[in-house]
Amino acid sequence: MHAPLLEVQGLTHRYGTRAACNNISFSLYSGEVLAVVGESGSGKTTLLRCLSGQLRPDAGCVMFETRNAGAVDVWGMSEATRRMLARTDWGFVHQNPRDGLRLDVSAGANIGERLMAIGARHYGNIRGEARAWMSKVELDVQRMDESPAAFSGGMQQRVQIARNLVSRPRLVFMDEPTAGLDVSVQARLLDLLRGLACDLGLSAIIVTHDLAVARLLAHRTLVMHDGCVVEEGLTDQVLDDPQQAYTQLLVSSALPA
Amino acid sequence: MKNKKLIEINRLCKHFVLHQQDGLRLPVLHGVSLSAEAGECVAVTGGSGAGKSTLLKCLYANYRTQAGSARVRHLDVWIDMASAHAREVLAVRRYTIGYVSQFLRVIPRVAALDIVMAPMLAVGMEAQVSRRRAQVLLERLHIASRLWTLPPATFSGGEQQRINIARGFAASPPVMLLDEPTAALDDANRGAVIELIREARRRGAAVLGIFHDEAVRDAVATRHFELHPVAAHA
Amino acid sequence: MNENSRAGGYNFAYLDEHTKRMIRRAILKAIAIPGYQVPFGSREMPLPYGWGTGGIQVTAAVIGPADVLKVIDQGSDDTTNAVNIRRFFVRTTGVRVTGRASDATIIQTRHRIPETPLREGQIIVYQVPIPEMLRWLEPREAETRKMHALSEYGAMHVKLYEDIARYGHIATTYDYPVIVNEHYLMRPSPIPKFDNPKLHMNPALQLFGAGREKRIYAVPPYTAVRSLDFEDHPFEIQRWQHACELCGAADSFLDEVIIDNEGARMFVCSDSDYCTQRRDAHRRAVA
Repeated sequence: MHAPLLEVQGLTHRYGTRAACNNISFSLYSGEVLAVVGESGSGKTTLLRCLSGQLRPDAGCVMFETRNAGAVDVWGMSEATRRMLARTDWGFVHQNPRDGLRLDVSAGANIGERLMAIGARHYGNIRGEARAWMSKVELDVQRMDESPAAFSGGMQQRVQIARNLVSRPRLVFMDEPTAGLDVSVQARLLDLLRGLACDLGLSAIIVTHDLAVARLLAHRTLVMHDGCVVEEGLTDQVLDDPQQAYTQLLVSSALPA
Repeated sequence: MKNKKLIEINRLCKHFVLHQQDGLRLPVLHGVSLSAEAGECVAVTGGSGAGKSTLLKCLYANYRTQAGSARVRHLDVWIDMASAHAREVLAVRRYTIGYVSQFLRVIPRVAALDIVMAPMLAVGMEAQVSRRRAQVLLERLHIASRLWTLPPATFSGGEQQRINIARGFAASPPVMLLDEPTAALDDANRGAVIELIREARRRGAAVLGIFHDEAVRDAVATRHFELHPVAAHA
Repeated sequence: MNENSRAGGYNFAYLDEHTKRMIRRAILKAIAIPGYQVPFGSREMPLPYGWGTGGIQVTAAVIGPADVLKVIDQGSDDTTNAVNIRRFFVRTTGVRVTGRASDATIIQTRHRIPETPLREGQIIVYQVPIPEMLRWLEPREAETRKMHALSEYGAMHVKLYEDIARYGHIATTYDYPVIVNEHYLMRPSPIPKFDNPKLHMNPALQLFGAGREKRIYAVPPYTAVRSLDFEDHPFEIQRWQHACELCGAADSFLDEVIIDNEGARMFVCSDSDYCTQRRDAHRRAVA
C-alpha cells in the first residue's frame, strides 16, 4: 500500500480566540477525491487555505508526498519550495474564476502560463498544449486568443480548470468550484470534472456546501461543523446513513440529490 | 468453483438513531447471520420493514453497522465491509460486488451506454470489448438503440431500472446484490433479468436478492432467507 | 571645468552632500546586486516627475567637477528634456558638457543608448519611469519582491506569448524585458529593443534611476544581459529597409520624420551625435 499523498495531523488555525479549524486530521491517497462539506463559517475554506500553503496553521502539520523527497511538511519547507509546489504539483480552483485567472490576457496564455512558469520556452508547444486543454475542457479552440473577460462564468471556470491541470498537478484544491453558476452550467461543469477526475486519476480536495457536488465527485466526504470534523467516511455512507446529529440535519435540510 | 463461500455475514446488528427526533433509536437488524456460496442465489424475504434492503446496503457498506461482520471474499481475501477502510471498500465495490439498487441515480449528461460501460472500464476491460458487451446487455433488456447515446434522466422508470441492471451485471462480478430488480418491469424484461441471474449463478457468482415477485423468486432462488422485524426494545 | 558658469547659492550638483552620500550608498548596493531594485530616499527636484528626476539624482550623486556630461533624449542632444537637464547641471556644477558620446564621462539618457560603443570608465545613467517589470502581472509590491527573490519569472513570458498570439511575432519594441546576470528580471527603461544587445557585456557602468518610484538599479561593466524570448521566436532587433538619408548609416536606429506639409518622409539616425560624426568624417574624407 502506498503512502498517503497528503496526511494532515492536528491542524488548528485560530482567528483570535476562535478556532476556524480545530485539531483536524485525515489522509488523502493518490487518486482519491475528498469532499469537505459544511455550512458557511464551518472552517472549510480556512482548512483548504492551510492545506494549500496559503495560510500558515497555528498547530499541526500537513505532510505532502513529494515526487523526489518523500513526505515533507508543507509548512516546514522553504517558501520557495512551497511556491514551486503550488504552481507545479498542486492546482487551486477558486470559487470565483476572476480570482484564479488573468482577465487581461487571452485564454490560451492563461492556460499556458504554468508551462512557462516551469520553464517551457517553445511557443509552438505551449500553444499546442493550451489548445489541447481548451478542447479537453470543452471550450471552442477558436476562442483561445480571446480574453476570458468576455466569457460566461461557466466558460471562465473551465479556463481556470484547464489553467490548473495543464501542469499535471498531483493534487488539486477546489473551493466551491460550481457555486456561482447556473444550474445547467453547474451540471455540465460537474460532469466535466467527474470525467477529468476519472480519466486523469486526479487527487482532489473539494470544498462545497452542496451535497450533490460531493455525491457526484467525491469518493470520501468530511463533514465540518464549528471548525471540527464531525463525521467522515465514504460519500454515499455519510449521505445515506449519517451518524452525527449535525450531519443528519445537513442531509435532511438539503434538497434531494 | 462450487461450495466456495463468497459472502459471510455474522451476527450483524444495525440500528438508526434519529437525532432530530430526540435520539429515537430504530433497530433494524439484530444478530443476522447468513452466508452464500458460489452459484447460490439467496432470496432475502420478510415483510415490509424487516430490513431486507438494509441488509444489502450494509453488505455494500452503504450503511454502517454497530456490531458483527459482513464479509465478502475479495480477490481471495476476506474483507469485512463493516470495518474496512474506505479505499478497500471502493476496491471491493469495483472488482467484487455488483449492486443493483431500486432506483438508478442518474448522472447528468452521461449516456446510457457509457453508464453500462463504466464498471467494465473500471476493472480494466478494453473499451471495444466493453462497448460490445454493453450493447448486448442493452439489447437483451430491450432498450431501443436510439436511447443508448442519451442520458437516462428522461427515461421512464422501467427503462432506468433496466440501465441499472445492465450496469450491475456488466463486469460479471462474483458477488451480486439485487434490490427488487424486476419491480418495474414487464414480462419480457422480467424474463431477461431471470436469464441474467441464472447466467451469473452458472459462472459462479453468489447472488443475494430481494424479489417481491414470487414467480421471479421461484425461477432464480436456490434458497430463502427470512428476516423478521426487530422489536423496538431489542 | 567652468567654475564661473556655476550659479551661486546651490550646493555642487544641487543636492546636499548627505543626500548624495545616501544615493551613492544605494548605487553601490545596486552595483553589488546587478538588476536588483534598491529603494532610495528620492528627493523633490526642481523639475516635475516624468522629466527624469531619478536620472538627475543619480547623475548628481556621481558627478564631479572634472566630469564631462552628455545628455540625450530620444537620441538627440537638442530636445527640450535634454536641453533642460544639461542646463540644470551646467548651472549647479559648472562641468563641461559635450554632444560627443566618446568625449563624455557621464551620459544621462532618456530612451536610447548611443550608437558609438561605450568604453570602460564611462557611466551611462538611464531615466526610468516605471522600474517594476512585474507590475502588470502583479499589483502587490510585497508579492513582486518575493517573485524577484525567488526568480519566479516564468509568467513574464505570458506577455511575449500574447504578442505572438496577437501579431504573429513579439511585438514589444521598447522597454523589452531582460534578465541581468542570469538572476534578476530588469526593465531596461523605454529604450528600443534595438539597444538591448548594447546592454550586454557593456564596458561602461550602467545606472538606472526612477525618481517617482524611488528605485535605483545597476548593470556593472561586463555583465550578462539577456533578452527574454522563445526557442521558436528568438529575440530579434528592429531592421530597416532604408539607410539613414543624411549619413548613409545602415546599422543605426532610424527615426521616420515628416519633412513637409505634403507628408513627405525621410529616415534619419535617431542618434544625432552619431549621424553628425559620420557626416563630418565623410566631409573630411571628400575634402
